[in-house]
Amino acid sequence: MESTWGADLSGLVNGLLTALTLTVVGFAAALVLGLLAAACRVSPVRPLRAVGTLYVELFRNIPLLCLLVLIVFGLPDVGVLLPLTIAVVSALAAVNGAFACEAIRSGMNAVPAGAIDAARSLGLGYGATLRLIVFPVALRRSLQPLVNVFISTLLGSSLASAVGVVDLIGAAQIINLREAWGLALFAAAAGVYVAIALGAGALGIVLERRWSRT
Amino acid sequence: MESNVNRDRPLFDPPGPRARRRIRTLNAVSGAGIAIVLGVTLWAFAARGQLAPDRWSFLTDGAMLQFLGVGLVNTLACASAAALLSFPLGVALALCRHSRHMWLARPAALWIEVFRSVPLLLVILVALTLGPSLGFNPSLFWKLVLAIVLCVSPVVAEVVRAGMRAVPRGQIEAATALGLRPAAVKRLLIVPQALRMMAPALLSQLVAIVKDSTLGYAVGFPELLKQSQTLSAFTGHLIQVTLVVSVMFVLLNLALSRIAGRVAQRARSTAHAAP
Repeated sequence: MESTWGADLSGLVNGLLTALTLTVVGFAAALVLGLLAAACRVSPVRPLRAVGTLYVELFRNIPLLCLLVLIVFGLPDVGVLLPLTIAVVSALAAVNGAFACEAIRSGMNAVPAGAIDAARSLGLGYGATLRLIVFPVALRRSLQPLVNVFISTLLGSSLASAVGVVDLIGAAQIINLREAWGLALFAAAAGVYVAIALGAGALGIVLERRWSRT
Repeated sequence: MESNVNRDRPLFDPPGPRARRRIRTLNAVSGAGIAIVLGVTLWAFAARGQLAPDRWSFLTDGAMLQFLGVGLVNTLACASAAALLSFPLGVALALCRHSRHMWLARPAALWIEVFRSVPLLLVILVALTLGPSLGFNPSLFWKLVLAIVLCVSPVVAEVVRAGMRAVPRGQIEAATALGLRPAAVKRLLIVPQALRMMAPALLSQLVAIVKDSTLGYAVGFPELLKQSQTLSAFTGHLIQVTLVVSVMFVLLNLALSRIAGRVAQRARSTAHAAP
């Protein structure tokens, strides 16, 4: 009995670590993609604007699972072989990057026009204005929506188990098949997700307070 | 207050001659970059024979299209059932959480916070694997729908609650001074305004519901994505079938978003027209 408990728990812990890795890496990549796409969407270069808009409209509207199937099972057919975790992370990043872009863009609306004018009259170029003036303010203002993007990345990472990654849900399923612990097991997994989401929300509030003070 | 970066208006001054030159160069460079990416993609498809007409022939095969059509109908049925159930339930949850009675507000808050952050797949698995042993055993369709309702209604509730909190305090005080009871204030004043204000955000939940319905794929419910998987297993042309189905999903969701945008515009204009 002792040993099965130990084995089972290590399986769950590994699953949790996988889920966390997918979420954190996926969210970081989504943030980068979102910033890039936002920069494209407000740039004076028309093709880049078009690409930004197309990216957002496409990936905001495609179901994550659909994209996962395309990337995991479809890409090998055209000669692109990605490791499973990389494939899942890129799907997560692509979809949530589109939402992050919209969050950041709505944060940009909070940047006072005067601040941008001031930056430009000081001689800052487009890139420098974005990097030094617009993005810092916009990111701070879009903190709460970005926390929501993080949570949706977390929830989205659970779809990895539908394409064969053993994340927390995958591990719970495997253990349930063997041990039939049933509800307790799934409730524990759900509790972990809720705890992470609540933690992220609390962190968002703390950061918001700290940043609004300075 | 007008802001420089409002909407799609780019944040830059009218360019001078030098900036215009630079923008022209960047236009050319980025245009070329896009063309190269598209070209490489097409080449990758062509090099593996993925563009061969017979691989796309399912698009002209009546039976196969009908098979996908069944999936589309199932997706739409699942999404509409989930929407019809989760919107009223969401409003009810919001009312409970907004209530003055703690025995109503506390459990509602807990319920909302928990099911807002539980993965839908987990809920579906519980309904599937444990439902029957707990005496809960409707058809696969209803298991999927109820799981979606469980996960979407808290989100709807939070949207509605945000709208309820945005109703001006003075209106509520005025209604109370006129002798309306709290329930009447909610029914006549708060909820209608909250729903109107939040209509766009609520409609965009439809897109989320359509996306959620694809989880039928993971549990074998024949919605569009599952049908596409079956069809691609049958034809062996996975990437083609999945691409077509992805386009179908994107178009469906774009149409829903477009409607939401229309409604948002109308809501804005009526809000301005109101005295």
